[in-house]
Amino acid sequence: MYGRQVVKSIRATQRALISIAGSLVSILCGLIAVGLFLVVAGRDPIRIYSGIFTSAFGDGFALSETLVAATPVMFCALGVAVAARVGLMNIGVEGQLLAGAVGSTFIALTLPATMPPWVMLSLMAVTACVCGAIWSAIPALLKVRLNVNETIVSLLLNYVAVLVVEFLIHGPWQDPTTSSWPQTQAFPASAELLHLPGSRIHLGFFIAVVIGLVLSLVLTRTKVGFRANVIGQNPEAAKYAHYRVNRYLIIALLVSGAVAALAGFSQVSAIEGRLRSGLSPGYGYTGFLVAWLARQNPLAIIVTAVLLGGFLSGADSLQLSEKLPFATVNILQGAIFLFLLASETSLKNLAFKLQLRMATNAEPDGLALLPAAGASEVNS
Amino acid sequence: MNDSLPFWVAVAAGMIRCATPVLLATVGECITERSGVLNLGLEGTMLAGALSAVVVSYYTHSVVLAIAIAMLVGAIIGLLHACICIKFQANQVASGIAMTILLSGITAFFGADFVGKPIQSVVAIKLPFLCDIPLIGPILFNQDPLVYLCYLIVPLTYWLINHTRFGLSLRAVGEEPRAAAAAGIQVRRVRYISTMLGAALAALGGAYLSLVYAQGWIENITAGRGWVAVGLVVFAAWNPWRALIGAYLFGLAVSLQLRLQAAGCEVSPYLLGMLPYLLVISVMAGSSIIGRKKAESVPTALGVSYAEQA
Repeated sequence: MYGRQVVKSIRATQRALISIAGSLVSILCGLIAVGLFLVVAGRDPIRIYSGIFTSAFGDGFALSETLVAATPVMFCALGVAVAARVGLMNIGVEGQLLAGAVGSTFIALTLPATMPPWVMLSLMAVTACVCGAIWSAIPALLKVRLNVNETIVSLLLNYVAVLVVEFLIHGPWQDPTTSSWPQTQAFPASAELLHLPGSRIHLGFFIAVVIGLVLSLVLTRTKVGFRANVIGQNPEAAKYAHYRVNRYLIIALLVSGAVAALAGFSQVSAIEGRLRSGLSPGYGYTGFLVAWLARQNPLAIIVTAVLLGGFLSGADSLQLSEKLPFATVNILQGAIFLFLLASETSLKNLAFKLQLRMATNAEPDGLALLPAAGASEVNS
Repeated sequence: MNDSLPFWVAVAAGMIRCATPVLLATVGECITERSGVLNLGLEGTMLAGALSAVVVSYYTHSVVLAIAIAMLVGAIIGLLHACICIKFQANQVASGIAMTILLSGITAFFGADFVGKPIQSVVAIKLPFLCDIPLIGPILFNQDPLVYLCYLIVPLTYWLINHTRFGLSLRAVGEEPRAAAAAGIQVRRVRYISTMLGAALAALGGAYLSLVYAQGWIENITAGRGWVAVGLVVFAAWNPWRALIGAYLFGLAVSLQLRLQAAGCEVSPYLLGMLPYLLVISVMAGSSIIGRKKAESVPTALGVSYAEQA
């Protein structure tokens, strides 16, 4: 029995190492490919990359801005990961972020400004979560009741969410004092999330990290997490085991939307101080990529979000100094994503081969652990 | 455009124009998905088609060349997506999303120089005799050549899928790839061809957007029309004729919204702008309620990678 435990843990470590290596290699390949692209476009990639790196991780200020950019990405990625655990692709985190921002703004503008900050902020956060969950309830219900593809519905709702925000800031919520700007009036001081002194890092970052840790515990250490995994990996088996699959699917998407909505809450409360146009430069899509790079693992998401947040904040500061179009980040993200996807199956095969070799070299105990599909290959 | 036309005739004529790009992409995706490949990169493919058409039209002043290059670019993108999904057996949904992120970045990068540049656009041609038919004439037959091409593409695609040898292989590969392979069909080759064909049609739709509809390049010109097309394929149950109905419903929503705004409607343009998206979500839900018994119209192998056995 002891031998099996060791083999199991070695296998898990091996798999994790291969995954991490795969993600790193994908990022590297993405950087190289986009570097070649920049050369073709007549730019100096080394100068640009070193610029991005210094303005992302170069000094204390750069690092703090990276963490600021990483916060909404982390919330969105965690949202994506919750849905992915039960096998759903929620690309609607972008819209759920906006729904959360709208919900928080409603509270900040309606409640009296003299409210104690903790009442104001907790109400804003709760309303954001409710709004995000409502927004993700639409694809959830359509998926469960009518088997409509949740990816497409949640994507289409992203466009609707943008229009909802535009409607509000051009219409009923527009700041009456500066009527030419499409934005709401500034929030009262009680609606501003706590910052670390001397930086723009705010409480939202720490909330995101805590949510990541809690999600990790729930997914790996509880019955609910185990069942969610089974549903995601093998829905047929889950049905056979009489799990309430539909309930899990709905709850996962609601939680997913609520977590992503916190990104909207923390952005309007801590960074913008109001609702305005262009609130998110695609945090939801970056979050989707982060969740995939981190293999939907909440702990890995925390680290990966900081890395990709660095790309965002670095490229943002290079917009002015190097006249680098912000679209470069999208190109980089798309390239990394494609490399990651292309490598995924070959990595799985590699992991399988390594395990096979280890199992055949080890004691016969290891053979018993092999999946049935591999058994025939051993014989041949 | 034509102030002399009665309101509803103008709406209907606008419906045809607004529907055309989405219709082309939807019909293309019907072909792709029939072979079992899910291409969610339509949004990005349409963007790439739109920008390459603008670039070629700006430098060469040739609309025909612009359209040809746009379709070629689309086919190359389709090849890349097919390669990732078929050769590397990647998750097809994620690959489509990755393609769209990549292409929206690339088009925004290069498109910035082409915003507001004058281009050679396509002019409407009245079809003799046909355009004199009351009511139908000014709606259907006073359009640009690409719309007429679209009238042909729907029946052609239907014929291709249902009445040709290639169509038979296409359906076989989408339903039972192993059986198809046993019958001597090159599963992968059919899937490569159908994905490239579908992406080329989507890029043509994008070219229509920039050459005819907007007459120039705007960043993110498609505004979700690629995703709309993917949704409409579900509504269409993978049938080009039903894709026509879906696309015209979408076109009607867009055209009505534009006409209402032009007529000085009180409702906020942002609220009206939601109409097309909500319509597509509703028709997806609606077709699911109606077609629940006919679940067999979904290609069985859709989205499943096919690892050929040696």
